Amino acid sequence: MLVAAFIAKRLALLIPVLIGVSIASFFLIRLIPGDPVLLIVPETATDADIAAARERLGLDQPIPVQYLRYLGGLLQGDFGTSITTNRPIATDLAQRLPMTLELITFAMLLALAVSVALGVYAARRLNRLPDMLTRIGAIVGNSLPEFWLGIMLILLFYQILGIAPAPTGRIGSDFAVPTVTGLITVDTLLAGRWDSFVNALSHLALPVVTLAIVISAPMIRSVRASAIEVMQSDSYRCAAAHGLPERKLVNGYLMRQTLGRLPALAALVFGNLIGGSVLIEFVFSWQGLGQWALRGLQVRDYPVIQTFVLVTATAYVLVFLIADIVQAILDPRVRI
Amino acid sequence: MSAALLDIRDLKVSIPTPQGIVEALRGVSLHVAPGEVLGVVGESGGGKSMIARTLTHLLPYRAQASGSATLSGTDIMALQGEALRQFRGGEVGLCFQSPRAALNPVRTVGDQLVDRFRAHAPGDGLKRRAIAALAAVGLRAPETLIEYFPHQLSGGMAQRVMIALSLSCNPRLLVADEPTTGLDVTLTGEILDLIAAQARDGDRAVMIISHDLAALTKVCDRLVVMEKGLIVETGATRQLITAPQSPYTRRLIAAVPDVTTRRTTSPESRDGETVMTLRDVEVRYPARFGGKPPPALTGVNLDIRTGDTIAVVGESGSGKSTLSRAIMGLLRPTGGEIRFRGHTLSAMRFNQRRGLRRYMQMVFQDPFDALNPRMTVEDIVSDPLRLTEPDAARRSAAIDRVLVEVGLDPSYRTRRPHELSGGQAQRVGLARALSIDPELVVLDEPASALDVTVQAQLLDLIRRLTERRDRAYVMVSHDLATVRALCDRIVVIDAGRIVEQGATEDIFTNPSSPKTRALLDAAPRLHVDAR
Amino acid sequence: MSQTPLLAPTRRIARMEPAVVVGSAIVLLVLAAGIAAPWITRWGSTQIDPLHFLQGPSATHWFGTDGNGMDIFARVLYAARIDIGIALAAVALSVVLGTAIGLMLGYAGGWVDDIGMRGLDIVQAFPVFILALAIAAILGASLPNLILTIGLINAPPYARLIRAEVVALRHRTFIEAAECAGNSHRSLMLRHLLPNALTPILVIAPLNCGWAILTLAGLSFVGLGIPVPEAEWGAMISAGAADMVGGRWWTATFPGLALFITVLGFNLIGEGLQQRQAKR
Repeated sequence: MLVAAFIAKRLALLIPVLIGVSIASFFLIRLIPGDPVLLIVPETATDADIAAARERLGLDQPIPVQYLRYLGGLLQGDFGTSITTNRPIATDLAQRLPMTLELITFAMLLALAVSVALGVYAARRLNRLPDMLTRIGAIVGNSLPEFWLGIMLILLFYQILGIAPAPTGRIGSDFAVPTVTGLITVDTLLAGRWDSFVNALSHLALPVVTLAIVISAPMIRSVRASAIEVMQSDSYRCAAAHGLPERKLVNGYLMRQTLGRLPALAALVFGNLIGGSVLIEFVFSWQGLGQWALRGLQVRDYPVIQTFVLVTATAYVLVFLIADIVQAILDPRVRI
Repeated sequence: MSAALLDIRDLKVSIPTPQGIVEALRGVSLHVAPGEVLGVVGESGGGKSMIARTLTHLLPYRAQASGSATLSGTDIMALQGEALRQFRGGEVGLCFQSPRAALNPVRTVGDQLVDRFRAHAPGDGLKRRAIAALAAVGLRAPETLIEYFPHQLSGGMAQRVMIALSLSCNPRLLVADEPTTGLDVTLTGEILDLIAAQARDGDRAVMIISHDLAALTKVCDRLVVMEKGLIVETGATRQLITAPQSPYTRRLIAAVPDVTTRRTTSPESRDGETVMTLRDVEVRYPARFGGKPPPALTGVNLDIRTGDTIAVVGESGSGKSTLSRAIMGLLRPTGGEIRFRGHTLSAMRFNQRRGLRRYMQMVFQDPFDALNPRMTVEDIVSDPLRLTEPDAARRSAAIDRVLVEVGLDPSYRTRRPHELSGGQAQRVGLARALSIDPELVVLDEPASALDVTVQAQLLDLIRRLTERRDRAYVMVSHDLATVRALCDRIVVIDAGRIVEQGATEDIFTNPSSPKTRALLDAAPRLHVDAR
Repeated sequence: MSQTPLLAPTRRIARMEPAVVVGSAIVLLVLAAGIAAPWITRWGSTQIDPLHFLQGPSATHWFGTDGNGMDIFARVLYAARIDIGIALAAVALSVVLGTAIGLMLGYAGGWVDDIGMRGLDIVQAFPVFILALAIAAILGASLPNLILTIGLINAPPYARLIRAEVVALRHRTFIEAAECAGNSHRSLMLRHLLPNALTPILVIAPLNCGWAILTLAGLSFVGLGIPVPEAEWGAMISAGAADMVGGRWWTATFPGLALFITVLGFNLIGEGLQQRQAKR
């Protein structure tokens, strides 16, 4: 019950942030000096075209009215129309989002597993060889440009070793399956095509590993640091001084307290993950949200940019909310 | 001498730090007999805690230990693996310094007890045993308490839970490391009695490590005095207190304030002009989670005259610090009026109050926290001087003058706070307050954060300053004994109200409020008759 | 405390973390190579060797040439100027801006702080790289715009850090003592709070330089950063990515290595400083 109240309170706090985010993304494209309508109409447009576009887009209205219309559209799932392809943005989103989601989810799960295992392992061997190697690995991972790492992995595993598929999308053309959920791993299983599933996994492997390496680095550092902090805390030392067995110490004391901070950490890293996914999709020709946004960014398709910024920020905020809630459930002290 | 339970011989511990190797223990030998309560006393940094940490193999990272330690024949230093685990908690129960930090924040009190039973004496009815263990340390309603998380416990409760955890597996030696840190005087007595009582039945021994000599004399059979990693004296409590051999022990004993010392000058100067009046002052802090908190201060009336030395005495949380900050205009009262030199201080804005700073200054409790760590002594002392003295040369001369006045050599001017001892840092704080010759000086527990031997010197300095009677002093303290020798008037404060005020000697000879009597009883004193 | 001033610096270096020493050496070396590029190589950053297109590493072209016949070694060296230069300028902008905002919010407290913090919440609700992409795309690629973009989006964490320090410091007795000593608002902020609040920033700033270089390279990689003929590591990797399939590995590998090593240098400095902080 207390947790429910906590969630309600966090949700209430979320609303002003989301409104702020929508205002910020609304004004973002108005950063450029000059008439926004000129950015939206094709360069060949006549004065009459411009006037018509201005009226159609409601740009002749006062700014607050424009914002409220924009907000109203968002609430109904209307994100506007791409000015370069003339397709409704909502349609593109629905098609692209699952692809990116799949990439991000696998990368996050892999990174979580790796960073918890390595971080705690290193902390328990503080300043010995495994710890040193982990720390060096984390600094290296933190310094690697993900897009270059992706290219290097392609060079190694596709070009030289020949064990990875070509970086041209998420499934080989012979293995195509009908789209149901948009998540390729789910769709292949739904279609009962085991061979397609394996093929999809092989296409996922390199981009997921690249992303996971880059986001694991900061997480390993943090997990290691909090594990060390717990092990040096009086509560852990007290439990050790009272002769609790090793397994109890690790599971009941070290892990519980170390993992308590993981949700917030993962949420923070989620931001890097979204950013990194744009670059990684570019490297691996992954036709997800990032590629779609990137094309919009390069040709200055402002409604696309606006929507992309809004969607990623909303996702980021929601992930933080989830992290907060998970943390509240894990930590008795939050239940005030 | 009966056969020792614990026998430590020539124990040495050295700890490598970035600043070099610290010799925490430099050859310590001691023993504890079954049924005995041994007190290990000394100032902070004396290495006392390293004894407890050696016994449980919990020395700091890369610390080196040598020497021998045996518990009824078991070689403690050689223990490892499963034998060490059984020994920890099973043979030696270590009671940690700050229970709030030492309890696992994410497990209930009951679970933490059960963890320990499982580790040493598994069996049935663990929950029942947990309840019994809590009841045994004097905790009420143990059935509900086992469901509590540590953050739901008060300081005293947390310490009792800590003791219950240490005793849960029936160790033969109970070691308590500074068990009363952060506890009120009344609680200190109760907790020490509880710990000492563990030695009374059967063959268990108790070792209490503390800096508080007065409190230890009440419960310990024998005392070990430590200084800088060495034992300087050891002996039965009574003998050690009545006939101390080492100069260090004598200093520790002398530093325990003597309630019977009186102010040497008589408080005749009641004719000074009034510098400050407080009328019906009320302070409420803003509520954090809804609900209206009780006021931190309410209905406070006080007159302060030149030449006065007034003590404001109360327990921690009574509102005495709030009062001193209200007097200084560091916080704005939510009700009532504070007048200073004809101005209504309580209604003033920041810049108006700033104009009055040259007439009122404050000395703070924690000397290091009160000095800007990045500034030199001369910058610190000249901070208020810049209000009154624009000329740098004259300011410089004033700094020298005031440093000498507080007993510091002017060569200290270029030092930074981390290069000073606690006593020196507090003298700098005093010099800063006195540098512009204020009319009112507020001293907030000026000596309580210092080592006991340094306290006496600083209080002596303050006493000499107050005897000149050219200013008004307000001294906040939790300790009646220290203020008796310093102050003309005492104001006793409890739960935000003044419960009693009057001339110092009247309060001591004829206290009217029960709170005052409780404070008088709780004053630290050496117990030489107890055993 | 009169010390022998002659020996003090050497002693300080000896006490330094090895990571700081190694990291500083890397960064200084890369920077020096960038500045001394005209003396190290005879090729210019955009000079075309019409006889050698897409040639592998050789005695003439140590790191080979790209599709335009430009010398990759020379371009890698010259790029250090732009990459490190922009990163330092952007981080300096973030630090100044963030410190000013954080100091004011933390000192003012109350509703000013509340509103300011909500504003930061909203800015930080956007994943940084996404914001960088959007702002860079909208403002258009140019050197000042890139500094502005990277500097702006990274100011909020500094503001938060300084504000947190200031809020914590405000409860410290020495700030109360400074108020008692009659300091003005200005003097409390600049003389007493700021010097004590800066330490964590000095640790974060090097890490941030590494991050800024990665961001710049990332923007250039997708064509929203430094425009093409200019030598910049990210743009060079981007141009070289396509060559990879034909087995021409050198065009993307060398600029990437330079980028990685430089960022590693900054990160080592940051790591070492953190270590030293922790030991205190």
